[in-house]
Amino acid sequence: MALDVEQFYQTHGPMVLRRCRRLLRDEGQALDAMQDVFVQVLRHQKSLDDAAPSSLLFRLATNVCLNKLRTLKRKPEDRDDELVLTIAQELDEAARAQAASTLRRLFSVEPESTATIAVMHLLDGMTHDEVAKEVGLSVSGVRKRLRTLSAKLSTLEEGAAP
Amino acid sequence: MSRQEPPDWLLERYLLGEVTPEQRARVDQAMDATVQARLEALKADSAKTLAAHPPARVAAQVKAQAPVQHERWWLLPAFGLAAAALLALVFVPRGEETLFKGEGARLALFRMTAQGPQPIGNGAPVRPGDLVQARYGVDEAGFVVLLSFDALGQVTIHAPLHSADTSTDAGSFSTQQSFELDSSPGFERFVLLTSRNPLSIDTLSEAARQAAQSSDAQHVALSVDPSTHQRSVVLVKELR
Repeated sequence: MALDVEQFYQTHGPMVLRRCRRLLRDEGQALDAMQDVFVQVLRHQKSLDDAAPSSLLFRLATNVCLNKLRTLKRKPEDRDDELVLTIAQELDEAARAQAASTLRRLFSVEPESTATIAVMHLLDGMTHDEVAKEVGLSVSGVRKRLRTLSAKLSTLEEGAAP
Repeated sequence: MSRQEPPDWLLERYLLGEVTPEQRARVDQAMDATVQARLEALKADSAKTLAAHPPARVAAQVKAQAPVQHERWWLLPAFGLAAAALLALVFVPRGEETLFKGEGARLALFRMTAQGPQPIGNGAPVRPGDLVQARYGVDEAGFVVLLSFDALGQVTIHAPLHSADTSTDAGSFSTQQSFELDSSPGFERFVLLTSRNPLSIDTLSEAARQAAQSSDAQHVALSVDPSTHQRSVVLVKELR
């Protein structure tokens, strides 16, 4: 679909910025990340589903923020922040190895990254079923991805959504 | 927030009207003063964001970083109409990028094998240890730098190899040495930069390092003087 960037931002920009703020905990970084999200959307506008773009934007923002966190060195501010930073760093190697296909994943050509799936389940409280619907994987596929996380993440998972 | 309360992501979509009937029912059933207050807070925050970062301004910033092909189009007037007519731009879609031909410069990569050089295109998979040779050509005398950078921001200058003199004659060239890909993860992106004005290797190297930090490092245009043309080929590293 032809994208009206101004209108698209007016409708979805604040949601994207809130997502970036929550993950990055820094207003400047969040604004940069939000802009990166819309640049990528504009670049891949032909792949956009105009029915409900918030799901794509949510995953895209998560991925952009995780990439930024991998290059930022800071101490976690609280338990949620620690979880996100740990996911970003624990899955750093795998994510970098898969970097080439990041955009293809986000635009539904390939399955979503494990790091993004982990954040959606552990931080956002999505159930396995909800994550599966969100990223287009089977529930067992989501469980399998999450099992690849380290023992450190398993400890942090205690208390997360079922 | 208790587990029965709708999570933030669901309230966001509820406000946008991008929920399934089941999701809408879930929010409606949980609706109480607390949930209502959270929805109102989201609305207020949205209004605050749009006031602080107006849509027209953000849209302009986003478009300024838009795909390379947009930049190329608006650079055309710099060449003059006669030159533009000769350029005969041809767009060749290749996956996520659009490559450009006919701007007076060409870049091609080859994997050096026992059977001879094998051409490798944009987005091609490569492995650590692969030997890559770059060949490039320019249609007129000017200035050229060929560099590559990886996901970690390591920049390699392939041409000029032993000098800071970036001037070149028109013609076709091969890099003097094949480049052995290392085991750094992600990708190796080769970028050919050409200009009618002298190029600074240090400046372009720094621009490449900055691009490597971008979340879209494989595609984002290097932040360089607008008179400098860019052409890039990305090789995707397979570590297994």
